[in-house]
Amino acid sequence: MPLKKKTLLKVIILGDSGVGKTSLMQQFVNGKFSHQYKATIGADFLTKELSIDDKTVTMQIWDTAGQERFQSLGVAFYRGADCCVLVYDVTNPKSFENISSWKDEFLIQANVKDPENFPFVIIGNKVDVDESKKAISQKKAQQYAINLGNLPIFQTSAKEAVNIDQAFDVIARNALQQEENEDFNTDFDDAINIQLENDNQNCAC
Amino acid sequence: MEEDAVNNETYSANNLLTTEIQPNQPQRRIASVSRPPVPTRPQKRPSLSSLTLGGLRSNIKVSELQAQPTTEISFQNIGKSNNFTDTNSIYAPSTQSNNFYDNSDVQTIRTNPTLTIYSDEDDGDQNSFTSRLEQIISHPNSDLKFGADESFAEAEDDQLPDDKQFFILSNAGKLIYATSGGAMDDQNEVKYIGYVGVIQTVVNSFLLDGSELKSIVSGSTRITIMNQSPIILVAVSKLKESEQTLLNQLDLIYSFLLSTLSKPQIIRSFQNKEGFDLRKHLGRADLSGLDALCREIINFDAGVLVGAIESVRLRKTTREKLSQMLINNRNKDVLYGLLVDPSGRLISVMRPKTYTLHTTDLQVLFSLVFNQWKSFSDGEELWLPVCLSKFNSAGFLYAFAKSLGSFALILIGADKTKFFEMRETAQKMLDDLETKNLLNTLKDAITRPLSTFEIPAPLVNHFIYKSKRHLQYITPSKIESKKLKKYYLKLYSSVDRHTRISVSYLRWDKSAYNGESYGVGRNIAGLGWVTPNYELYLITGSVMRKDMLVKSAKSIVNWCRKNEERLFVYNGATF
Repeated sequence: MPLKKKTLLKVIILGDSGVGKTSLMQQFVNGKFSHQYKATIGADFLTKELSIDDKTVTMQIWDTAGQERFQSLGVAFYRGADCCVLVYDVTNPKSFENISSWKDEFLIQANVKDPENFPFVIIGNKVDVDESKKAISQKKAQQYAINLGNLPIFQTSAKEAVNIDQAFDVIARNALQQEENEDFNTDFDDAINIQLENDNQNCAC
Repeated sequence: MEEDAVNNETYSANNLLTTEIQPNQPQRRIASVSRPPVPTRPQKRPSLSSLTLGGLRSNIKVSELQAQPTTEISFQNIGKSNNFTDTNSIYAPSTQSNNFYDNSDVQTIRTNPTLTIYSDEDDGDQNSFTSRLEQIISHPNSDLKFGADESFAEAEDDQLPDDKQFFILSNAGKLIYATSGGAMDDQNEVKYIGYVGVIQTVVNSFLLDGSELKSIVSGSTRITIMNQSPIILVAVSKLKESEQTLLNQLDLIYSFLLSTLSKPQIIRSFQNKEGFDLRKHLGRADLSGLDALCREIINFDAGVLVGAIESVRLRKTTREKLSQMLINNRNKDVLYGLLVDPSGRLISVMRPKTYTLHTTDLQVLFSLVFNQWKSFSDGEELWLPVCLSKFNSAGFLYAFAKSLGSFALILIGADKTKFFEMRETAQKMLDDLETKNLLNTLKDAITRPLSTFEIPAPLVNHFIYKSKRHLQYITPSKIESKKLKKYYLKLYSSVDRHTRISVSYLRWDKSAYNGESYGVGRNIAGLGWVTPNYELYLITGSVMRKDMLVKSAKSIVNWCRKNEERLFVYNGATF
């Protein structure tokens, strides 16, 4: 008699410093955007509940610090993630190039069982900027995502709330798929073999 | 016996003696600004100063730290000591203090190595990592209606839940369970999911560094962590309990979790997937069972505190008759037989010569059975698979329980197909009880309380006596008053358990005591006395003089030892 339960999904957000990881998360969870930039220290956690088809899921989003000095903490954060979001800044070519290193880093640190099928989602953030400032074309990014293993990719703006919900919907779906891929059987078949020293044969039974 | 232990602190002063400080080092060496807080002796383990949650990679200079706009929390590790178990405690001084190195010598001594968490956010953002950690530490339950010390004055309220909370999470930081103190509403849940993420990160950061985080202490709050990878259990308490007390409670909760899952099943589930969402797989009964157990622990349970089962006093001849009744009617499928009253007091035990039952297993079993029987009404039956983890954490036993209203019979076997056989045996035993006229004798014994008047220690208001040999305890009446619970918690934690014999004497004066106002109407004294054979904790408001208390304590011990065969289930029926 399975109860209808909320699934808890662990989602890790990775990417270079300043690409807008925290802003994306804030926009998604709280619908807010701050112009002020504050570097994330270590990691931050936000939780949001959402409905995926007939299911309610609770997303536990782990917003990590992009700065190099926090990288040693990776293992502590990454383990057991259900989905990993790779974020780059469309105006920053370096952050785009680093996407694949972040992916590798995650796969190594998180000790993922089936790296081929682990769900990643790529987000190109800050599409609200002037076209002239964009360094990575959408076409180039899409080709890159295909090369990385046909990963879903979204062009978003945390500032103007463009494409955020769509991106997180796919993140949640992919995480859910990953999460549900588990077996848990409660048969109580682990019987204990009891051996009594002098098993009493003449008891009243 | 005469050894003094006045003014015991929750953390024994022995801690100080066992930290490996060079004798000639000035105690406040860390406070010197020019010097980075690097370990002053070679470390076997990697230094935590290289571990940074919001810090620089290594060799943090004090001057740099102090240059940070806000320094929110600092943890200090006392390092590893070989001859003391309570070593890896991390002490966090008050988060309000900016100059935390000067808080006290005790904390300064413990700054070896140092983990610092600081934030450069200045607007107190509720979502920042540090403010969340601070939240957990300073408000274990942020819906606190009153502070811990104030609540001492709340004489009418016998509950302690606001001062304590338990969390169970996975190694991946997924919430498995949190005590809710009521309905687990969505808002709380979201909060707890964030909390356990922080806890997981801190715990794993220490592991990465080669050390194990056991406790974080901040002000009056202690967070104690038990790592049973892939499961992490956390207790947050403001009740000034010792680390060991909290670890014992966590062990009981962990055993309860295992009782429906078994260890191999948990291991298997997480082996395939570290992010396994165990919470989703816990049934309604599991959760309500966990709730009931945690509530019991939080509201105080003398048996959990002293690690023993309470027993019902019976005449020796009655005990023998009960043993005979159990053993004569036993069939070969029955491994254990237990007679127990509705408050979990043991009446009789039947067991194989070669197997005993662990106290924790019994506590788990009673909690499971009694939680199923909300009413404990006559004739109710129960059949349940149970993993008694201290007996064997890898598999299940099968328990048949039948209630007779005033007590219950529990039979345990290893074969899950033997329900009818067990049931028949139980019926035979109960019929036998009736024909031998033992039913009424039992009912009388269960309802007749132990009175302090029977014991030649008239000045004692309340006591708990534990016989270590039997792993059973007696206490004159249920411990219902909140004050009494707190006295016992404090008294228990005040006893030094690292010596063979230890005595602790505590006083709660009407006026301020030790900087804390307990708001009690009269002076209260407590004596804890632990020896290899027994433990005694007594509380009195009648006499303050220590020599008088010691005399009373001796009287109680003598009386208990003299009446041992009546007070405790002695050998039980063995086969």
